[in-house]
Amino acid sequence: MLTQIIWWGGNVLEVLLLVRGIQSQWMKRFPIFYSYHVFILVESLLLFGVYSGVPRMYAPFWWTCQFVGILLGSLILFEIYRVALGRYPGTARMARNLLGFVFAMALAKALVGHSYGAFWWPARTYAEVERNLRVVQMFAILALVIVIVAYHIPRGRHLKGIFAGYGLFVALSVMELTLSTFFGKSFTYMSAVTYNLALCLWTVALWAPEKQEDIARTLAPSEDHVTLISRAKEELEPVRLGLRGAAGR
Amino acid sequence: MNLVILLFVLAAVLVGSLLYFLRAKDRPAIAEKVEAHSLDGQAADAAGAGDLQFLGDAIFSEGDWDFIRGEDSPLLTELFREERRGLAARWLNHSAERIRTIREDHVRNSRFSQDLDVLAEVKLLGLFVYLITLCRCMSLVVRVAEPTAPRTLALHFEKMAGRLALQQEAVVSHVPAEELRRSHP
Repeated sequence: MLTQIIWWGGNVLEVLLLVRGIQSQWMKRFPIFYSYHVFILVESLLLFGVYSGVPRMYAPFWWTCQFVGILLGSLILFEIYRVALGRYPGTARMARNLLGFVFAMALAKALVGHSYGAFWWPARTYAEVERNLRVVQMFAILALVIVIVAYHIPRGRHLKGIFAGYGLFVALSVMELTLSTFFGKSFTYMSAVTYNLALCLWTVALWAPEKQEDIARTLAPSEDHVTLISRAKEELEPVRLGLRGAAGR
Repeated sequence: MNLVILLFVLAAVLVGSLLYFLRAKDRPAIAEKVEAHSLDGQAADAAGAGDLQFLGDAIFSEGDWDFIRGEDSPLLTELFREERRGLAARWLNHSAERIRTIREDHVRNSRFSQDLDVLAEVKLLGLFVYLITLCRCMSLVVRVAEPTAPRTLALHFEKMAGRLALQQEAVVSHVPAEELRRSHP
């Protein structure tokens, strides 16, 4: 009964999100995000059919869908990068370098792990592979959060919602997959509830339009770089001179 | 078990940073602040920088200390020490805040840069963090020791602050921001 409630609840939220996306034309702004939800909805219905018709095929089908889901999820991160940093070439370059660093580290870790037979790759179970991929996603999300916050990139209601929802889903998935790998049994409810929680966040965030004025205010640099450097010098000079007494001059 | 703990900590860090991401508000740039201040009173704003330097000089110099020691009164010395400690700590916190504002204005502008030198930018951001940390350390030192104690730190701060302008110049080209072509990443 509980499984049915969670499953139907998720589907209803998914449909609501998609209908609202079509109605308000936000699908054009976030095509990958909405494609991901179309995929999840179709996957959910297909899995139900497979489970009822050919139960022995359910597990391989489910894992295949999971990996396609992870791939599409990673593209959501790319969409966040594109939408949030499209107008900020300097920050976009910084984010590209940081993400490149994250993926290079993941690749290096995988190669080293492979040579020592450690936990990254090859993983012993599908759950371990998924967990490892989710950990890489987690680092990519962290890198994007750091860049967006450090550079004061304006983040509207939609971007915040998509980012927070996906980030929460990835973080809780890592916890769930870690527990299931450690204890050797799956926590099916936890994974479904986690996804529904993220769906709630997405539905609420993408229900209403976002305010445009805050984003428009920051679309141009406030002053040129030379002015900025001289202003920084002016601002720092009293601090330097004030400390001369302490420096014994 | 260590791996479980590590991954849980990482997940918790992600959730924490997402919460910060949702709550963090954009602070106004220096230019906007100055505009706002000038509406309140231009004289007060103009006096700000001079006051800061004068106060710093007065707080950290040995001149007043020599005078107080000359009075040979332990009570007066203790009172003076407490008063100076409080002033020095406030002055240093204010200076750290000033550096933070400079950093925020820098990142606001560099986000539009077409030819940002990533390595120089990382060095510069590190330098900002370092200078702020130095101010906080000096603040800690004056709280636990004499207000004139952080001599070595102050000398080091002066040296590092001198590098700031050079680092800022290294980050982006000298082309004014409005002349740069806009493009999507």
